[in-house]
Amino acid sequence: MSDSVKKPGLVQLLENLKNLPANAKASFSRRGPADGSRRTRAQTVFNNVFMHIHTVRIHRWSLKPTFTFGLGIASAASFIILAVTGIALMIYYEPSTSGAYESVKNITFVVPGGRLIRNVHRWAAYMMVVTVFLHMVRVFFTNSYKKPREFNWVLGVILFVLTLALSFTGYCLPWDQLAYWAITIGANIAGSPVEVTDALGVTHMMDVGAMQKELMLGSKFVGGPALLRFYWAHCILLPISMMVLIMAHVWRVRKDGGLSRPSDITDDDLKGTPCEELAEEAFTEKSRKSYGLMCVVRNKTAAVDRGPERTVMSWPHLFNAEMLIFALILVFLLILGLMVDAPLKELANPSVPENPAKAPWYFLAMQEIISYSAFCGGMVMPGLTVLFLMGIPYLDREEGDCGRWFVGEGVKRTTIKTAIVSTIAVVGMLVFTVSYGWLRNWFPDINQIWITMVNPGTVLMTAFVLVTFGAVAKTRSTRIGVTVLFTYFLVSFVILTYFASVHRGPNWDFFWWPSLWPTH
Amino acid sequence: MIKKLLLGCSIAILLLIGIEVVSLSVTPEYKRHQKQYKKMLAEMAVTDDEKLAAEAYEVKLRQLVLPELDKTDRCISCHAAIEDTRVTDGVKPLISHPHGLLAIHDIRKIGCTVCHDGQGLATNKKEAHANEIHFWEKIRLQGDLVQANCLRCHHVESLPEQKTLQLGHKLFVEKGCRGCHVVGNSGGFLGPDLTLIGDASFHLKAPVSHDREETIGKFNHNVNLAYLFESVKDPTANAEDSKMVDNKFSDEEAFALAVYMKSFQTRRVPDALQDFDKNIPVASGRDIFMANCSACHGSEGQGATLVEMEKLGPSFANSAFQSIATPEFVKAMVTDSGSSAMPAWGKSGGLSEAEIDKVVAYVLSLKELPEEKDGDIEYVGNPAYGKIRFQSRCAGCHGIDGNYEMDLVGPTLTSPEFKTYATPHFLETTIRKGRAGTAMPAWYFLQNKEVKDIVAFLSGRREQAPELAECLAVTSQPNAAEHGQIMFQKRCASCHGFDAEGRIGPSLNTPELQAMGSDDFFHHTITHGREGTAMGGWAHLTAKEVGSIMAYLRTFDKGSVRSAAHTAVASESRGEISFNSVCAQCHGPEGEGHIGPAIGGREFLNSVDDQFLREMISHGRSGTGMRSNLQGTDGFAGLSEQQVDEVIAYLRVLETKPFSTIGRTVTAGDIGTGRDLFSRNCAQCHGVAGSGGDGPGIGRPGFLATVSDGFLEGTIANGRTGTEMRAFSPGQHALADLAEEEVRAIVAYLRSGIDVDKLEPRAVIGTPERGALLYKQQCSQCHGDKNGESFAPWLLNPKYLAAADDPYLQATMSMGHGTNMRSMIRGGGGVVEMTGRDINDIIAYMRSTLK
Repeated sequence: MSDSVKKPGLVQLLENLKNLPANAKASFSRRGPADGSRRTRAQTVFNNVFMHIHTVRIHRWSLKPTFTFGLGIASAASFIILAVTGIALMIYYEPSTSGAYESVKNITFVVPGGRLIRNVHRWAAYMMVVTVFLHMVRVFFTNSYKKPREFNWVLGVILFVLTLALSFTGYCLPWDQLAYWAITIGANIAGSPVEVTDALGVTHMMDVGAMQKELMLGSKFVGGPALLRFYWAHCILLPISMMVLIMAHVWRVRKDGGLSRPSDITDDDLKGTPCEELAEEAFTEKSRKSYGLMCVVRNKTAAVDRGPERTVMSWPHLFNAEMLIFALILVFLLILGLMVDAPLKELANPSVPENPAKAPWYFLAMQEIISYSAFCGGMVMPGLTVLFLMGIPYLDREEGDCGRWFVGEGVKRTTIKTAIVSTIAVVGMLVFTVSYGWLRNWFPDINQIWITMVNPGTVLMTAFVLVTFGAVAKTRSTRIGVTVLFTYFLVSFVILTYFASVHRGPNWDFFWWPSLWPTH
Repeated sequence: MIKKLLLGCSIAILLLIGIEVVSLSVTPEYKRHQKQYKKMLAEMAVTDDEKLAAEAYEVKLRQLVLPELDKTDRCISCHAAIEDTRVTDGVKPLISHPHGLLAIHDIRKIGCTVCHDGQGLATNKKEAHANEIHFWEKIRLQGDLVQANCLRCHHVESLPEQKTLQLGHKLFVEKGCRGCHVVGNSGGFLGPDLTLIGDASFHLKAPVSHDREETIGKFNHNVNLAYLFESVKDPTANAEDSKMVDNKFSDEEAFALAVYMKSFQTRRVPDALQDFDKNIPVASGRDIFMANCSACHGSEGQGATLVEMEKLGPSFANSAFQSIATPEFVKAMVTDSGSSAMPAWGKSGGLSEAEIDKVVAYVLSLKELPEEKDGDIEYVGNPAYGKIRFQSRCAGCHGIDGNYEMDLVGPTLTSPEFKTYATPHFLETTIRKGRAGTAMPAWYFLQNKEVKDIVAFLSGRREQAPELAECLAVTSQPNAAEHGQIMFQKRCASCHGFDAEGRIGPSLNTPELQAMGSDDFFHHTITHGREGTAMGGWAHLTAKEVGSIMAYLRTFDKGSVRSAAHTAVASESRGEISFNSVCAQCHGPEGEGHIGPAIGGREFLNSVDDQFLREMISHGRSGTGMRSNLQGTDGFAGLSEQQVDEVIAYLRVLETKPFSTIGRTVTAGDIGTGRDLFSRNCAQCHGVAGSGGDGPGIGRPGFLATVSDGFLEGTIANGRTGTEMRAFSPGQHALADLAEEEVRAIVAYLRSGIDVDKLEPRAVIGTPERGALLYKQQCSQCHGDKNGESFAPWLLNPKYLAAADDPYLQATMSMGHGTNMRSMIRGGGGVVEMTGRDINDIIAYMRSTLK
């Protein structure tokens, strides 16, 4: 405004008011009035801290819906919805054993919109677990964890674990029967190393289980201190860790050259993705900068040596797609939230155990193997699984094409074969266990350590690790190897989750259907 | 495309949020109800104030915040008219509270859910009533069901109008539910603890029968109540192996019980709001008995057959048990019976000692006293009837006719010495009160007539004593005195000395006595004795024996009579002073005897005239401790003649006053010496401190209370023919030659009670090996063996054996309990006929199982 002529005060004010939206927008985006040109749009993107997480231009492959299914964005969207609704819930929630349940009831009954917000929060949590899990599956089967994205895969696995931890801690806060018995199960898992220390006879010297349990509960028993700890973890520790790691995760996506994509993209592949006139052309407009950020990025990047062909402007194509996914998820959650109430059982009652006391559904696979051995199923096997998941990029360092589903020689066949074999194995093992029992039924006085070491879970896992070694030796491909193991993990996770949800009833006995449970 | 979708989604989001906003602000049920109520207010309004109030009525969320209960009830959001007494016939929820109950219940203070349960926090009907959702433990109660919650604040006794509750409470007490179920602090262990059954989670306690849906529906979807109903109605419905008694409750009764039992809940209401302290009656022994014991022992203590448990609940309310059970025994059993079926009420059962004492008192009060007909009091016993009665009641232990046999449980009752000392009073007391510590029950349940007949039979021929004339006829016969001397030495010398010089009994050879004692005096004394002294009534002697003894007694020198024969007319009150200062030292303040003989008794005073007394008082009795007391005779007291007459006058007053020496310490003796003598001479048969052994338990207070010192002295001196009890005075069959002072010392020792703590439970002697066989044959079918119980009480239970002493066991086996437990003794009319020895062997076996 330096060249503007001084105008009479009121006229000036009127004009300022008229220009207020444009000026505000300009100041927000750190540039002048939008002229709709690609340059200004690009500038907007990289001048804005939130938008500059994205590249200015994006490859059309990355926008291909059947490649990503938008799962990463869906996860992020769920997280944002969870954060917003969660903060809202914190206003009324009271983290004490005497007040928690009543405050949740108050949120449900008298806080305006409280019931909806709580419902959306609960369903979003489930949604996030699903999308994060599927996101991981997508990344694995598109071979996208390969160099240079190994560490980002590790971050992703950690985020998956954090998602589960957040979900679990949140599950406990209403202090109803579900919450109480979930904490109890969790605490017993934390205390389960006692199985081993007992067998070794060293419990009296160092009771690792009890220490873990006490660390978790802040007491020897489930009560107020445990609730406060879960509240603190759910609202402070885990969300902050989550946010930091999400930032790192997304930043790494950007640094590692955006989403992975195959080297042999054809026009057919890109059918249905947004297209710009200039997308196939060379970059004609001269950059204002002497070099782009891409210059300092090591290794291959999407744009190095290839020119910006097949890229489109992030704004609007990517942003619209992201917003659409966000909006779709929000619509879905709102409908669900309006129609289905989040479960809230009766007030926690230590004298009435839920039977069966089932964990939230995404932990049921784990609970099934915990039913064989708390220590093995609750700590060793999940621990090994997480270690394996994180280790995948370091176990398999084969350089191969990436970005396509089941890319690589024999991967698809191996996946299908393994899926069939592991389905048979897992179902077979369940049928066997349900029909004939396990060591405890055959040798009632057997030392617990034997069951901790040899149970249906460990037997299956050992078998598949051995099968994996066999496959690696036979095919000389570590990619095939990790595919076998990952597929096995996937199949057993899904089957066990289904089995424990539907076919396990009171006393963790087998039932064909929940309606057949003896009336409690 | 994407943009269109985005637009669609955005619109959808706005729409969904809009739906939420509308549903929050417009559709809540309570707003609808309150708008309706506002209209009703306007219609009802008559005065201007009311119109203004209707105008000002605000539609909003309404709640009762109840800090004392730590609750918030939002029920009044929909039930807006609940306090408006004008709305009596509206449509729910817009109706005032029925029965005007809010007039006595301050809803602002206690809210709604304290009575009605339900989810007070909720703001819609479905979730507030919680009948159809499954996430609220306390679903709404209505109608009679609400009565369950009255007990949160009130005591059941203060709610007479709550019929359902009252019926439930009555049934719960009368069926003795606490016998098996703990409620609060007390109750049995066989059934589940019901303390918090009203809070029981529907996950754990729910009806399971095929018509469960119907049952639950009947209780307005209240699973808790439906469960209670089902369990009460059909105990095996929920637990197939339930041993609970099926009381065959009607639907109405089961309903009432369910409602009452629903009140067994966690305490929710602070003291300040409770109404407990009013009208709580202190539980009587009967109340406690009904609540805790009646299920197994019957509501009247008549016992019960518990088919489901395969047990017999023993009966108390039968005369046989009542006649032998001691409070100590009942208390020990109630406190800790050691049975697997009966709770240890004094321990885990949770009754206080005071409560147990009340129960014991109640149990022992279940005596049915016999109906007495008019005229029975004056009835004179008939020995012939008595014999028949004796044979049916007593012969089991005492033998047919009371004759001595080796293996009787009770002592023989026919020896002449016993008959001599056992006065009717003694016999009657013993029959009525029994003899604590022995197998002799208290026959309280016999009619007066029966007792009198038996007493007449036992005291025998007292009335048939030879007449004076018959005896005098013998006296004049030749050799009567010689014969009499032999008789005297045999019958009388043990007390009166070989030459009638006196020992325990007074000397009979003194000139004074010979001078004053008339024939009638001697005759009456021999045949009727002196009650309360060692001189029994020798009524069973023949006229010849009595006559010759009298002849012998007349062979001694007769002194001259020095006193006047007139009747003493003098002040008896001054005589009392003299008597107390002079005579009482030796004869006792009532003349009951001490160092000197008993002179206060009616028999004695009746048989002597004033001259006799004057002579004795004035001049004493030579050769005895009785000195002369007349002034100037160099005697003991130096009384004037007037004073002697005063004393006589006082004695005549004593004559009119009945007195009894039974159970009283009269004799003077050295207790320490007595103790030594007792342990040397008596304890062998009579046990430590007279606990009883082969011989009767003569150290027991129950025995000592029924006998006089004379009884003891006489028995020691004379023994008892036909039993193991020998005479301990010089004589043909004497076991020891105890001096007079020694006999008195023993009596003094027994009377002193110094070793009463050393009394041991009387132990019978038997052969355990033989007893084991008998037990197996006769007892084990019902009472189980060493290893386990059967349906009747387990007798080899150590706690039972500790509480029941041998006499109790003897008596139980002899008499039975008038229940399935029949008499086991020969002639007892039971299924088995055992001898006393058999019974003692069984007892010995039972005792041996403890070792």
